[in-house]
Amino acid sequence: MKKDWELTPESFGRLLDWLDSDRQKAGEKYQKIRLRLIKIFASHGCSNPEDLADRTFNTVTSKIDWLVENYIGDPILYFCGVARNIIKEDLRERTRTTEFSESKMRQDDNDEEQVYDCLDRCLATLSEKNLRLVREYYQEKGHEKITHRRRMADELDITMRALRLRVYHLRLQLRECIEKCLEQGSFR
Amino acid sequence: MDVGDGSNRLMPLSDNDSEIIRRYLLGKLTESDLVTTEQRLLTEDDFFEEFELTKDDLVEEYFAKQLNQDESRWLEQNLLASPEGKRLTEIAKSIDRYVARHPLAPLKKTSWFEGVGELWNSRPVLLRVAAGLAVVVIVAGIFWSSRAPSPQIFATLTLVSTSSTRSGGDETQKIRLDGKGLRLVLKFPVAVNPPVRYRVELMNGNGDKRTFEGVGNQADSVQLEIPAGELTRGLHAATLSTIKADGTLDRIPGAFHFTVE
Repeated sequence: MKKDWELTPESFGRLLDWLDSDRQKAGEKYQKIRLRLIKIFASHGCSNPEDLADRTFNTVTSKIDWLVENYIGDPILYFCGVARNIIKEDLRERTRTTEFSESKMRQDDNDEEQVYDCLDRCLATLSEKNLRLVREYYQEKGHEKITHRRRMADELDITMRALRLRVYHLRLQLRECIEKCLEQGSFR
Repeated sequence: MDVGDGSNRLMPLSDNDSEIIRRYLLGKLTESDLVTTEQRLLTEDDFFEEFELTKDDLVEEYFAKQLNQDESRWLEQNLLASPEGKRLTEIAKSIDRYVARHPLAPLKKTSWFEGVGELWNSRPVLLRVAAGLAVVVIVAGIFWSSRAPSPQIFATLTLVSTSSTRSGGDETQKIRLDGKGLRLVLKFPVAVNPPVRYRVELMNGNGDKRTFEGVGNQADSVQLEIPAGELTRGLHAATLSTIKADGTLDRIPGAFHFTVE
């Protein structure tokens, strides 16, 4: 990406057109790609995944005229290639001196207390059925856990994956609720 | 708030796909497999969904120390080092803590009668006779024991809020714990419409707090059972709040006091 390049409404419009001729669908694709790039960057330990996702879009947008003329194939795959280079670059830049460790995590005891208080409140907003599901799901530890969850899935007459998904969606709700609670400082 | 099953929109993923995602998150893929996996993450909804599920599984396994040293280290330096990973970690730890503090009775398994039925149908005649005799002996035993007074397992204490009934000079109620624990009945100052979700915060003389939650089906009171091991000798104070639909607490004024001897 050229240093003096700047994102303009026109170039962004061209990017959306490249993603899909229907602006509504193009917008949806944009959101979807951005979210998934953020998740991919996060899984590689990037400290600011949102920025890197935007950098990926800027890099692609800076080449949009060339891409429209010459690129053949699914635009999403091009994003993938750019993102891969950005991950490598980020890994090189990243200082490995501040490593994650459990002891470091313990320094954030206050945060943990706040998260716990918020979780406590957020769990109270779940229906009885869903609260029971979450509590049941996390009941067992170690190898017992797998047997326990299989039994839960059997009882509910669903597959293990469907059970994992149910709990995942509940955890997502809880996570959003916790984020809101922490932002509002409404713990305690 | 209920969530849907989600299973309708699922396409079957192969075990190999789940393994690929796991290996991706643990840094075990070759460069070319990395690229293919990331392309699939961007283009395949189910594959991406499995990626999200696997992250949570790995965080759980990390805290349960089920990953080997290299895997743990990789996770620490990658997923767990990101802001999302940090939040996943905090939530996983908090859920763990919550579940430890609020243990559930085990899942309902096959009922006793169903179990006996299964046994009955699966055994040869001689075993059926033996099982039949055993049932007769057990039923007779239960009948015999029910005639004798059963020992009290939970001591029961009914309390009303200090603000509604007690004057300052009243003594707190005393209870001696001989059995399994204490059944506490806390009276509402005014009747409520059951069922009511409630939270009780119990503090002992050392300032240690415990929180209990549940659903009450009485209009005039809530009831909770506290195992003896969780009570210390001395004065205790409990506060009662109802939990509104939006999760906020509605505190009942006053406190409930009692002394464990």
